[in-house]
Parts: sequence; C-alpha cells; structure tokens
Amino acid sequence: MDRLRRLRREPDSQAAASAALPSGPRELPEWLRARLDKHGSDAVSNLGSNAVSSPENTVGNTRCAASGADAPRELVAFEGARGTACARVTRFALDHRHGKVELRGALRARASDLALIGVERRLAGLSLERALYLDIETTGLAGGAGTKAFLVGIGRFDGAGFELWQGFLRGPEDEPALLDECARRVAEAGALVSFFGKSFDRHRLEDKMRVHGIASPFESCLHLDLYHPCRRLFGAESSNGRLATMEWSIAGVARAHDLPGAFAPAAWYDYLAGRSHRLEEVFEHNRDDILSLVVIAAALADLARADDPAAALVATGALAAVPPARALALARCAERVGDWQECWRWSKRALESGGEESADVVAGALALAARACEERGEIEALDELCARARVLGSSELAERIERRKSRALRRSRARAAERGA
Amino acid sequence: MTQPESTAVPSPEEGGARLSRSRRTVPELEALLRADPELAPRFPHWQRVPARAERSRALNAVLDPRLREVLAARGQSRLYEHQARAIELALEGRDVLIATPTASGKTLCYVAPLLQRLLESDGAARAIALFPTKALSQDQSSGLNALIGALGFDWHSFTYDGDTPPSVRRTLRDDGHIVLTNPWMLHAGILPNHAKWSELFANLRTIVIDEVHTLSGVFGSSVANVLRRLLRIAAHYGSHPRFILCSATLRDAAAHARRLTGRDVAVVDEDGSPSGERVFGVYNPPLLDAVAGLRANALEEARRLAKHLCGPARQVIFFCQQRTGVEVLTRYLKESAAEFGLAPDEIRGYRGGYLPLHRREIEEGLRQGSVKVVVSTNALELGIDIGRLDVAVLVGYPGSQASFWQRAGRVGRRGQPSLTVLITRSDPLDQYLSAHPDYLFSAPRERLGLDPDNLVILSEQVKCASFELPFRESELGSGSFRGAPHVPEILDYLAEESKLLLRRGDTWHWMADAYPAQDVTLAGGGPDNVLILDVETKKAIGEIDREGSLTTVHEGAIYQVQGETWKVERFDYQNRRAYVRAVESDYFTEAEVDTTLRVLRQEKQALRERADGIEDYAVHTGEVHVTTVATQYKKIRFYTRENVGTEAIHLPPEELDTQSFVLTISNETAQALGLVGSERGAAWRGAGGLLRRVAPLFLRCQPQDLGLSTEVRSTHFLRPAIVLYDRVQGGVGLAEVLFENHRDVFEAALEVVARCECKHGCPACVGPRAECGQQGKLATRRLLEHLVSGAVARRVQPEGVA
Repeated sequence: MDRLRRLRREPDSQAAASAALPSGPRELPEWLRARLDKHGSDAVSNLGSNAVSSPENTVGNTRCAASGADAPRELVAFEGARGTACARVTRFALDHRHGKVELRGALRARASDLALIGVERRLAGLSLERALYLDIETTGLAGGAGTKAFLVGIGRFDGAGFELWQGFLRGPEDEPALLDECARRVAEAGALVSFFGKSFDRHRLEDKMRVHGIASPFESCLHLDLYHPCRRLFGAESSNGRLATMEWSIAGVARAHDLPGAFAPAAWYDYLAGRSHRLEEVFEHNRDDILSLVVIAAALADLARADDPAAALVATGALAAVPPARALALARCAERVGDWQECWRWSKRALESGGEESADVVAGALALAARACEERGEIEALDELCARARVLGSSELAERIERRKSRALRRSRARAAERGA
Repeated sequence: MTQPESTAVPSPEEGGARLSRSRRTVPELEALLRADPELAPRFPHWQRVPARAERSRALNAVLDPRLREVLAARGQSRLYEHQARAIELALEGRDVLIATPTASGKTLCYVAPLLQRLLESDGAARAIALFPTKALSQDQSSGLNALIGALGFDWHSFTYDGDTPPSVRRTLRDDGHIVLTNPWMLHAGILPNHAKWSELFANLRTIVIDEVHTLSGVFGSSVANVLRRLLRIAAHYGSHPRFILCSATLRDAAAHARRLTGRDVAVVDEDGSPSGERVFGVYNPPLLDAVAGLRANALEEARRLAKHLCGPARQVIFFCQQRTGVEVLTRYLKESAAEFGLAPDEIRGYRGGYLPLHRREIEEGLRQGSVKVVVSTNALELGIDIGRLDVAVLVGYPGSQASFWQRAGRVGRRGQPSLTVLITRSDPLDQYLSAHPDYLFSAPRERLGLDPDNLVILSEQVKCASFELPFRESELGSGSFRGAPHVPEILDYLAEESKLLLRRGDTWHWMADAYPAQDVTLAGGGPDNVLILDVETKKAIGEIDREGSLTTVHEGAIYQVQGETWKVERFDYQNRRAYVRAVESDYFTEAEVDTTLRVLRQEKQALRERADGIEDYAVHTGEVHVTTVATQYKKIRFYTRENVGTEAIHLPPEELDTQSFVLTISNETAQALGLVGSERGAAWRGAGGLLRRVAPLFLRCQPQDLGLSTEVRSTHFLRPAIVLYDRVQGGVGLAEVLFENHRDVFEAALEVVARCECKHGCPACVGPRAECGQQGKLATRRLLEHLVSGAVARRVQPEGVA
C-alpha cells in the first residue's frame, strides 16, 4: 500500500520517494510512474480496483476448472492441433420457440429465396439446415491486433435438434486452440449466417487467425449476412440496424434481462482478474443472438414467399401483409440477382396492393416492372405499364417504358428471324 | 532595368531584354553583381567551391539484366559511385545509410535494390518506405510505378496515408508490393492492424526511410520506437528486413542511424555526382537605421536582386522562411515579370499548403524548364524531384547548416557553374553569419539528438507494442526492444497499476478495451491540418498545419496563393476549416503571438547556500502551464510595408501543460556576480539560450524540443529564473533528466563558452552580441563558473509543498 501511495504521489510519501529515486535498475523512477498514472488511467475506467489475482487455469480431463468457483459453468475441454481450449455446448429441440418462431422454421427455407434476399446468386448454394450461425463477443469494437474474441458462438442443426457451441477463452493463451477449432468448423460447414458478420465478426476472427498462422476458412465460405437484407426490406419501417430491433419486429423476440454488449469486455476482464463477474449473462446474450439469427433467417426466407399460401409463415403477423414498399424492395433484390420472374412478380405486387402506396413507390415499381417485362419479352404488359405511368403524370417514365417496348419488339423480331433462318 | 548593362545594349523591341538576358551566364552574373557600384559593397563575402568531376561505373555484376536494360533506357547504364556502392551494400544484405546532398540521385539507391529483390523473388518480396511528408511519398510512388511498368510486371507500389480512400485500402493491403507511407500512419494505422497486412510483414525484405535527418528530437525518438515495433511484428511473421536510409549530409551519420534503427549501418557519403563550380555570395542589406541596427527588408532586397538574376535562360529558386514571405515575393516577381523578360506564369510560388495537383504541376514545370522562377518555403528543401536549377536565393538563414546546404543543393547542373546568394536579415543570427561567413562553410557542427530510450516515450511505445503482440520475457534478450532500459518494469507497471496488461507466466497480454496508438503522439506536428475553403466555389484552395493556422487563417487574415488574395471570413477552429473569399487586397496581414508561462506546481528542488547562510542558487522541477495566443494582426501594404491598421484576433489559446526545469539565483548572488543593471536581461537571455543549446547533448533531443523562458525577476520565484520546458503535452521527462544532471549540464555549458573563440558571443555559444549584449558572454561565463565551483546543490523540500 505504501508503494501505491508513493506512486499516486500523495504528499506524505515525498521523503520515501526521493530516497528511492536513484535506486537500483529494477525500480521505475517515481516521476515516470506519475507520468504513466496521469496518462494511462482512463482507458480502463470500467475495471474494478480490487487487487489482481491470477485465476487458476489448470485443465481437467473433461471438465475445466477455470477459476475456482467463479468459472463459467459446464465448460468442456477440447483438444486440437494448437492446444486445448474450452467450450460450452447446449442443445435445443427443433420445436424450441425463440420469440414467436420455432427454430425448425429455418429448415423449410428455399435456397433461391436466400439468394434473393441476400442479393447474391451464390447463396442459392447455402442451406440454412447445414450452415453455421456465428456470433462473437470481443474485448472491444475498435479492432486492431489487441482485440480478442473471448466468446465464439457457433450454432448448427444436427438432424435431431439444434446445437449451440460456445467456445470460450479462459485466458489469452487459449486463443490459438480456440481459433483453430473455429476455423475447422467453418471450413467444414462452408456456409455461414451472421448479423453484420461480413463487416465485423469475420474480420475479428480472420485477423487473429492470421496472427496465429491459421489458414482463414472465410474466403471460400458462403456467407449470408442478415444485416443487409434487414436494412433493405425493413429499412423504411423499423430498422435502426440493430439485431435487437430486428428480432423483435420480425420474430417477436423480447429479451428480459439482456446484458448490453458494451459490458461484455468488463465481464471477461473481471473474470480474468478473479473478481466477481457477469460472464453468465454474456453467455446468455450470445445464445440469444444466435437463436435470433436462426429465426430471422427463417422469417426472411419465408418473406420471399409471402404470397404463397403453402409457406407456413410467421406467427408474428408482422409479415402477414407485405406492404408495397417492401414488395418493391424485394423486386429490387430480384433485379440485382437478375431473377426477372421474381422481379416482375414483386413489382406487380407493389402495384397491386391498392391505393395506399406513395407515388414514389409506384414510379419505382413501374420502372422495375418495365425492366422485367423487357427482359422477359412481355410486350402487352409494357403497354399497360406505360398507360399507368401516364395516369401517374410522369411522361418521362412513360417514354422510358416506350423505349423498353421498342427494344423488346426489336429483339423478339430478331429472334423470330433467327428461328426462321 | 535600373542598372546599366555591360554585356549588351537592350534593344527597344519586344524580346530584346529577353535576348540579352538569355546570353548571360552564371559567371557573368557574378561579375555583374561584383562590378555593380551599388550592390558590390553589400556582398561582404564570396566563396567558391570548385567543380567536382563525376565518378561513376557500371554495375553489371549484381543487377538483373532486365533491370539494367530499363535503367540503360533511362540513360543510367553507369551509376554514380555512391549509388553503385549503396546498391552493392544493400544487395549484400547490409543496412545502408546514404548521406549525400539533395539531387545526388539518392532515390535510385533504394529503388534499384527494391526492384532487384522483386525480380529475384518473382514478385514475392515486399517493402515499406517511409517519407516525412505526403507529398514526397506521392512523388516517389509515380516514379516507382513508371519503372515497374517499364519492367513489364504487374507489381504495385502505392501510397498509404490519410488520403487513401477506405474502399481501396483492402486491395492495396493484399496486392501492394511496395507501401509508401509516413511514420504517423505506420504508428496508428498499419502496426496496430498488422494482421490485415500479414502478407506484407511475412515477406518484408526492405525498409526504406528517406530524409532520416528529419527524424530527430522527441519525434525521432518516437519513430525509433515505432521501428522497434515494426521489426518486432516482422519477426513474428518470420521476416528480418534490412534498412536503406537516406539523409542529407550529417555529422556522425552512423551514430544517428544506429540510434534510430538499433543497427550498425554502412555509411555511403561520398557524392559521385558531377557538379560545376559553385559560387556563394552573402548579401547584407543596407542599414536603414544605424542606431537600431535595422536593415532594409530582406524580401525587398530579394526583389532588387531578382532584376539581375531572373531571366528566360535560367531557373532561379527563392527560399523564404515563411509562407507569407513566399506569397508576397511571388506577387512582387509576377508583377515585375516583364522586366525579367518573363511571362507571369513562368514565375510560381510553392509551399506545403498547396493542393497536391497544384504542386505536381509546378514540379513538372520546373523539371521541363517551363517554370523559370520558383519561390518556396522549406517545402522544396526535401527530396522532391525538380531537377537542378541555376541560381538559389535564400531570403534569410534557414536556422541550421543542414537546411542551408539542402537549399543550396537545389542548384548546380552537370558541368555548369551555379550561384547561391544568402540574404541576411536584421536578426542577430543572420548578422553574425554575415560577419563570420566561415561558420557556414566549415564542417557541419550540428549534431542530431535522438533518444530511443527516453523513458516516457519508451513506456508509451511499449504500451502500443503490447497491444500488437503479447510481450514475452524472452524478447527482452533478443527482440527489437533488447537493451532498452526498464522494459520489464514498465510492463509490470502497465499490468499491476494501469491494468492495461495481464501477466501470465512469462508473457504480458493486452487486456483493455482501448486502442493505445490513438492516444500516443509521435510529436513532430502530425497530419492534423486545417482545410481552406473558398466560400463561393466550396472547393479547397489549400491547407495549413494547426500551429500555423492561428496566425494565418484567423478571421480577417489575407490568405494568399500564387500572389492572389483571399480574405478569411470565418475560421472554424473546432472543425479545422477556414472559409475564404477572393478579394483584391492591397495589403497582407501579419499576426502577433504572445506566449506566457505560469508555474503551477514545484516538485523537486535542490539548493546551495552561501557561507553566510543566504541562498545562492537553486534548481527545480515543476509543472508549468504555457499559453500561446494570437493577439492581434497588422495590415501591411504591399511594397511600402506601411501599417494600415491593427485588429484583434479572437481565438482560443493553445494550451500546453508540461514539465519544466528551472534555474534560479538569489538576488544577492546576482549582485555579487555583477549581473545587474541594463545588461542583466540580455546576459540572462544569453545564458538561457546557451543552456537550451547544450541541454540536448544530455537529453539527446533537439533544441526545438525545449521551450525557453528567461526572466530577470520571475513573478513566481521573485528572483532571476531560467525555465526550460518540454514542448510535448505532458512532457517526456526532459526536465527530470536536466534536474538530475544539472551540474554536468552547467559544466558542459561552461566548457562551450570557455572554448569558443568568438569575442562577444556567437550562435555556437551564448548567441550573437546583438542578442545577448556586450557583456553577455562574459557574464554567462562568470555565472557558470560560479555554479560549477564549490559544493553541489542538495535536495530540499520545495517551498510551499506540505
């Protein structure tokens, strides 16, 4: 305590300090300590000031006793090429409800719908049944080499149910083993579902894998990042870009005692320092994030079939009626993947929903519908669209549709001539 | 034309002046100046440096034939001796420093090894090149890419700085073979994100650092630690790069390089490039007021000389000390263009704040010869490629021998004589040089200070390093931080007290939600610039560093570009934006700055008493608060320099909280030493200046890193005081080292004065007489002799500290 007081430069320590000043090489000069105190303290304001005691980190045969009584429960050790680390494994039945949606909803999703909402043709090769659901908790959002992913949640369907694997760092030295196991799992599945993971989770893991010389599995991996479809399809209505908002409006998920993500780093630091900690809540938060990935993916895939009575949609009601703006957004998705049948279907839907749509939505839908008709060579439909554009009062749009019609006509004549020849 | 022409009678037709001027050679110019009855007496000194023959050879053995072919196509089948030697050493795997003057072809010394490494490795080898400015790195990038293009490979060099758009950063990281960047970007952008650059680090063969003489003092000490971090990360990915360093001619270049890189480097410093005879003239403007020692304004004199020096057949460069000077002189010269036989467009201003495209265009004009006259700040002192010119005019001494020679190095074409004129200003240092020009032409006396082991800088950098990779105990014996003092103690402190690290066994892990490089400054200015926007076009017309902005773009200031004037309407200090509107102004503005120092807290004190028990002298450390505020500006009419109005500036002060070292002597001792009366202030200033010049020897910093305040009666100490303070926010411990070593510093200072051969003071000791007074040298010597004789001051509790 004396030393501490000296470091903090309390007045009564002056004499002691000056006596110690030119001392042996193992002591930092007092003025330097003062300087470091002054300029290094705000970085860790969320840490307690209790004395630090390093946690035990002996690994048992099957169970890990990470830090005495206070370690996260039910950790199981696994061993890989890069050493030993721990994970907690939790199983859920297929009829487990997260919010108002059963997990098994994801199993009905059609691949083509995922390609549509994900705006990436490649995603037609992704199956929600075989993909991994990934979400990580890190020691900071800024990134950089000093940021660690201390909890990596990976969920997957395994036929009988849904398995949630939560790899956990008992200390920084577990990092290579944990990352190696993650890389193995991701490479094996070859497909991922995440929320904002293309921008965040993937890079945090990939960066640390590079540091430890572990080959990144992400490059060749199919990746459906739900953040972007949510923005596209719900942008105007309820999305503020946050998972919590989306899971509520799409799947009716309400979290009761959720630990805000910003507290996660402190929970892990407290655990490492042997203080009482809130890691259990971080595990729960991560679990809920992953279950939300499943139900949101299921709901979005269903959304693409919203007019298909066979799609056993969505108990929430939020998706029951597709408002014109969302129909238009789906038509845009279809345009971007070049699926002209879907583009025509959804733009028509936006135009058919009767009266309440805004002029902007109608104009956008007319333009998209016209493009789809040109691509599909539906010349009569273009006449109709053109007439509607004139009713809307946009002669410029009408002219554009006319031009599409002439092009479509030329093309169909050319094709006919080719066939004739 | 005010002077009669000796060589040709000017023809009355258009172009006559142009023709006669084009015939005048540099020796004829010199003869003309020496013969002119008005000008000749103003040149107290002429100096000639004989022509130097080219020493060159072919470099067939070590260079790949494909590279030789590309170089031969550019007329470089033979290389200058220093280039050949440097390339050989680099390719032998040595760390190399090339210390030769500007425009001696240093670029090739690193470009050739980089390309050779790429050829040898089939495109696998990677390199990082550091430049002190963005402009330089962009300049080098285009040159490198042209060479790579000529080799016919799909390799890339690119600049990575604050201007690089985020959208292309990723491609650059993965595909860039040669990354050109600056120390700030390396520190805060690249190293903390090394995983994203793993391809680069795993194959890093070469680190190029250009202009290493700019890496000195606190800034250089920080960069030395950034390099330790760089080597540490490279080692993690399994690479052990070599250095190629370039610098201006330096005293003890090898020692500087060793402190910077931690390696023993091979020094190549014999310039093999040819140069014609070089003629130097020192020009002292006429006295206007003999009593006050006031001389004619140096800018006006530059204008007068321009009439003789500028012309269509020559390229002339003017160096001014300040941005305003550049603009005012550019305006003057453009307005007199016809007299020189030039078009106004052949005369250009050049300085750091211009936009990159604008600068590129001027550089190109200089290389092509379409720009005949350029007026520049130190922006053209560094290695930007503009070819060699014919005549250089230095409007004022640039403050150091290194800068003087860098500037003079801009002239001197192969086999042709060149002329350099130094116009000395009224200030004491310039006047000293005009009286003692041999000071300029003797061997370099300035030593660059740099201390990679400064404990504050080291601690901050160790913090950044441990964010980047866990710190292992084994590194202390073999890694890039080996030999640095106190590293394990610093790590333990960061773990136990700061709680930033966690120690597990022999390893310290980063353990905080923070990004330390963001909070750790490198000093040295940094790229934190103010953008200057035209309110009408909404476009940027220039930029300026933060420190300069206070006196240049305050509201009401006249901002000039190429001699055209804008008035500042609004200065958004917070958001670093100044809004200007084009005006026709017949005046420019000059701001005044006021610096005040307040002692906040005394920390340590040591004092000595006289036999009679009265205090003799004391030294202290303490926290000080330094406020710099722009107070007012004057409107000064062009040409007449008439002051046409003064207005107040309303800007928040720049605040600096830092550590200081203070020397006080009691009023009784001052009396006894004869430090009294009107001489006292000047003598005290001289002693302060001397300590500021000597202290860096102990601190291994630069004099600019220390602020100085001398008071004959300090309001805090109520006696004479000299305050030396650390100019970095919070301080980097310089004051502590001074306090601990004050006796040695006084002894060294005494030795400097005692040994100095000058009579009444010179820039190498207490400063020129005009600054420290007739008695300055004597009084300082007496003071120092007193301080170092007798007992050493002993530690006491500072007054007023409980």
